[in-house]
Amino acid sequence: MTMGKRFLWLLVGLMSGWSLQANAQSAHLTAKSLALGGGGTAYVEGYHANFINPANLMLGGAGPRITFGLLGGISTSMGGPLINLHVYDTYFTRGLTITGSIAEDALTDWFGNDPAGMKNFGMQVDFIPVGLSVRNDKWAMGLALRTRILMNTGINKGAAQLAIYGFNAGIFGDGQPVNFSTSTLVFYEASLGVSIQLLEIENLGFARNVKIYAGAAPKLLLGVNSYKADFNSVLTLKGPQNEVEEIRHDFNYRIETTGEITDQLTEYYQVRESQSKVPVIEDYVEIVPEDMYGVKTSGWGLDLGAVVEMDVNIPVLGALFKGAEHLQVGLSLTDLGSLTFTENAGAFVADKNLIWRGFNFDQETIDEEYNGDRGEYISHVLEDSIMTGIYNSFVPQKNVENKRFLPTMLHFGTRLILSKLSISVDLTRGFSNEGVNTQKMALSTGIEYDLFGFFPLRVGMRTGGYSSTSYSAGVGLEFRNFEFSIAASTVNTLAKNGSAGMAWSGLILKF
Amino acid sequence: MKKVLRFCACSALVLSLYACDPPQAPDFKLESKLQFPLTVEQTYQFLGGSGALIDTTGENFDSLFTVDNNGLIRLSKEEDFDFGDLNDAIPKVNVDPATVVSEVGEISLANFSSSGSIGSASFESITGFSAPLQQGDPVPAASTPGTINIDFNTDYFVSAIIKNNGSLELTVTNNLGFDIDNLSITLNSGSSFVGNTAINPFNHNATETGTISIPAGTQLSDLNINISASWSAQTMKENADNLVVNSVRGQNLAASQVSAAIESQQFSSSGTTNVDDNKFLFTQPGHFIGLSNGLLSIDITNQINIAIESLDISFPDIRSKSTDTPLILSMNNIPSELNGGSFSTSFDLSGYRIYALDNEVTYNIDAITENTQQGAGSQIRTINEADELRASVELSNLEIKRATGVIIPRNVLLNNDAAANGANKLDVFNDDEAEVIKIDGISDLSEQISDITFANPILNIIYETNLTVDATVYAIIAGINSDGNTVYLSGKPGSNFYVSSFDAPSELMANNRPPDEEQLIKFILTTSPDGSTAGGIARFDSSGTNASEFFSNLPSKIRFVGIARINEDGSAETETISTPITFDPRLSVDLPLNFSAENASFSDTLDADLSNLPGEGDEQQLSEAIFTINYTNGLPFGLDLSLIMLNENGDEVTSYPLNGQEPLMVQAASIDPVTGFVEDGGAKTGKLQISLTAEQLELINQTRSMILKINFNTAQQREVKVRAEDSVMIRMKMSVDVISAFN
Repeated sequence: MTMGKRFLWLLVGLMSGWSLQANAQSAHLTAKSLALGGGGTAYVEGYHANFINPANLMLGGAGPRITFGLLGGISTSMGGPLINLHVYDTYFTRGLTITGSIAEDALTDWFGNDPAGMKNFGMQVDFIPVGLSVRNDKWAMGLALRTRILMNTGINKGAAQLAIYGFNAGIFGDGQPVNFSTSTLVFYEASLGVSIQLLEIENLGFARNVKIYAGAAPKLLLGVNSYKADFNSVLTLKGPQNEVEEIRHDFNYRIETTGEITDQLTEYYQVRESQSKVPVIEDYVEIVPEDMYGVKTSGWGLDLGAVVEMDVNIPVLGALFKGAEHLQVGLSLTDLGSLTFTENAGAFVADKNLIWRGFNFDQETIDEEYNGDRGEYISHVLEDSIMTGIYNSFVPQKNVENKRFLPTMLHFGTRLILSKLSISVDLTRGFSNEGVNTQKMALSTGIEYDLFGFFPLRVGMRTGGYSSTSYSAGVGLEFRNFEFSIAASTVNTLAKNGSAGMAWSGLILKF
Repeated sequence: MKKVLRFCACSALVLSLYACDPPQAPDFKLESKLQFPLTVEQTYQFLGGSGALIDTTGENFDSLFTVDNNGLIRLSKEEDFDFGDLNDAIPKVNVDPATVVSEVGEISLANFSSSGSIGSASFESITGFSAPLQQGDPVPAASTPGTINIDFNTDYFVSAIIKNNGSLELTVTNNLGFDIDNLSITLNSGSSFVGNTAINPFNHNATETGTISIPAGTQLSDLNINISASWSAQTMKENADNLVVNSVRGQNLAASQVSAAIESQQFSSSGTTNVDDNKFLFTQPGHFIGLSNGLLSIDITNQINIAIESLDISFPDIRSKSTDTPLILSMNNIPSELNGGSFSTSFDLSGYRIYALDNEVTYNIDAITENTQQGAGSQIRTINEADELRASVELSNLEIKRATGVIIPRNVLLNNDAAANGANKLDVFNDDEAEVIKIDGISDLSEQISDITFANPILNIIYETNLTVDATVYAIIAGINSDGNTVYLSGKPGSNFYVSSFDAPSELMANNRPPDEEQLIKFILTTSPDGSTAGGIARFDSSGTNASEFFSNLPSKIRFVGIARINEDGSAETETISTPITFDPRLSVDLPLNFSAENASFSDTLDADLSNLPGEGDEQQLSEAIFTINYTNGLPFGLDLSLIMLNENGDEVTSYPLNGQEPLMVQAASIDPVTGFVEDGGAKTGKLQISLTAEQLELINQTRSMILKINFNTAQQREVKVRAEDSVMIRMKMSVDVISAFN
């Protein structure tokens, strides 16, 4: 496989989440909330409420008071500006040869004009193996376990240029930044949510049966793995047209690790420092399964929320539907807390430069050390000297603590129930851009129609945040004591910031 | 209203699904570049270690190159010939077998009897008295009445034929008791008169000798005498007794044939035998051949009816090296003819020298027969003066260690002489005969370079020999290049190396044909003045030979057959030659890299498996490939390069440059017109660009091997010289456009 093709597949891999990076919105998604655009601040009930708005544990009205979920929710969402379906559709599906002005336009559309600008792609996978909630008139409790995988990766325009243009002196002649980053956080949550009714007002004038609930869901965080890598570089191809005489790559990176791989990289460093021959990193690094599930640290987190539900009488619109209009308004703050990895935590940094002026075919060396085999010599130069000797020349840092904050997010949402039709609107905003979070405001809206009383049809739309406007839909079967839903979302082909999501409610039993 | 809501809900769902249409399959191509430097700026010195253009540490080039004081590179190589020795140069000398014949010759007759009396006559018979007288009795004067015959009793003698004039001596004693005035004696052979004599006076008690002449041709047998006496009157001095014949002896009496009991006879003879003069002449007394081995065989046939008591055969010309004494062979008791008469013996001649002046070996035979008169029972033998003693003398297996004399010019083969093409024939293309030398370094160059003209190459034959005789080597030296083209090393007319057809040795051949003048060369061996090992060099350069043509053919093999013509002019009167004759030659090539070239070509086939490159039908295609080579050429010749790509069947896939493509030419460095070396600062800088077309790139992945052809030219086709440190600096960069399809 050629170098160009490798880069392309790497890019495709990054786009498809293969690299286990994640982004999009970090809000907890259920099959219902995903179908309705990704909100849920004011309507996600049962044990799922622990993770969106614990106050919602009190919602449910006259319905069943106990909810039990087995394999009670699997959702994944991905997205980010790195997945630019508009660019993809415009340039990569029409048989074009991506070169010259076409390549330039595509990259500008994709990354803008700033060569250093990063475009990220994120993915979040939530899995709730079991959940239970119990609701009473005045209080409710929810208990849920959740496994979370948060991934994020990003590349800059220079990296994309490298993938598309290759080693092109016309592009990199004056030097271009070539950067990428990636992070992964895997942890378990054991959340205990409590919601109580704070206030009940029968008639507030414009509303009746007003009830205000407040809830909190502290959660035990069990950190499994944290990995971060930030690679920043400037690639310069010096020389006249078609005659690159020197490739210069000034780079620095920082890799944060936890688990066995920290020891492995440290051992590699020590061996490399103690002997003249550069060791092969593959001989030292081996993925240990325990790193993928073993708990390495713990911490505490908290989800908070409040919700108000009321019956309202909306002029004109209310007349179109039978019965009273029911309005729910929620506000929550999720994922407060952090995880600090100290056991087997490591950080490895490098600040080097590669200057490549060509192979030095020193025949004597080739004869003596490579048995006269030039191919072996070339392989050694590329793999050992450059990849291992330069790019792997990291230095471990001591007394490292890898602290990872949870993707704290503020949610505000409403839901208006008009008989079998409900309309929901949510606004979300993260407090940082770290991980899967984003500080960009996102708006989610959804409509649900309960067909035949047990077959809800759901559509939704979401805009803002990391992705372009995405559309979602879902269906479910909802009986009094049993519920099963699925949902999916994606952006349309014109979207510049792609996203995609899927959710499966699992088997939910209600009593 | 419900229907409206249901419709709206379903529509919204459909719209959502429509809005969520999945992305289309990818369909695009990436045209990416790979532009990077392939090699750092690397300088390849012409000669040096593994990083040089010619790796002198490589197996094939190890010790092949030297650099002289001027910095000029010389390709030098020595390879040994394996000729063994030159012992054949010493002449082989044969001595004709000879038979020595010794006749008995005249047989001397002396003693005729062994006892004290061979006959007698009584008083009465002589005096005629009837009874013997006593002392005091008077004896009247008188004479013998008639004659008295006395028959000899000669036990040693039977008969003889007298060869020469001699005589017989009769010894007589007078015991008659009175004095005789005159005694007349007549000798008879049987009844034939032989001769007479007289004794007077012959007194009583006296012993007198009478001599009777025996003429040649007299036959003697049954010897007797007639006597008569006369006396005066007197008185008997003693009592009367007999007249006694005591003996008869020959005086200077020799017979040609005799039947008798013979005393020892001594006879001798001399002769010569010829020494082969085809190869060696003994023209002076001091000329000789020294033998390391040899056998003298003698077979004796005694045709005489008498044994040879002692026989000495002496060879005054065969002398001991250590004592300088002649060889004398002494033998005893050679039986008579009757007892077989044969006798054989042999003698080891190692350590002897043969001084065969005028190529003749002299011999002498001295024989003494047995004395049959001695011992128990005398034996009567009949022998003839012509009876022979034959001695056959043969000198065989003569191995000459040293020879001093005149060596006849002759040819000695230097190579093994295989029987297949006949004896004394050496064919330069016969592997069983020719010395074949492969010089690895030249072999490699030969396989890759042609049409180069070396200005001053030298082929040396370096040898060590103790040969003391002038010798000229005639040889066929054939240089065969990797294409099988043969160029013979030959002398230029007028040079010492030139061989005319007249002088062409008949022993040498090329492909079963006599060689032409252009296929022959000769050189004179430097000989040792004193027989110690001395060194010599035969140097073949362009002044006297076609060495330039010979080496410009870049022979990968050099074949050699030759003969040494010993003492070719034959002028020396005395030469000394000794074995072992060493001749240890080795061939030395001294090829200064001083050459001219006009489109000289270098060709090499390199493994080049380019199957990993994208080709026709692959998702990836090469749309453009440009290889740029910046060079600084400090070599004294320019290069014109071309590439031919071959597929796995060896068929051409494509080549570069095609028509219309830029030629790949490297300019030669500037040359100092005086020295021929690259002048200071004369290196030329330039750039080559190999730009492959799309058509070529489509095919290039079929390439499995590549022929690199380089034509190189020296500036103005002048002679140039290469120094070890002459170098070329190159730097390679590449730019490849790769189109990758995704659909």
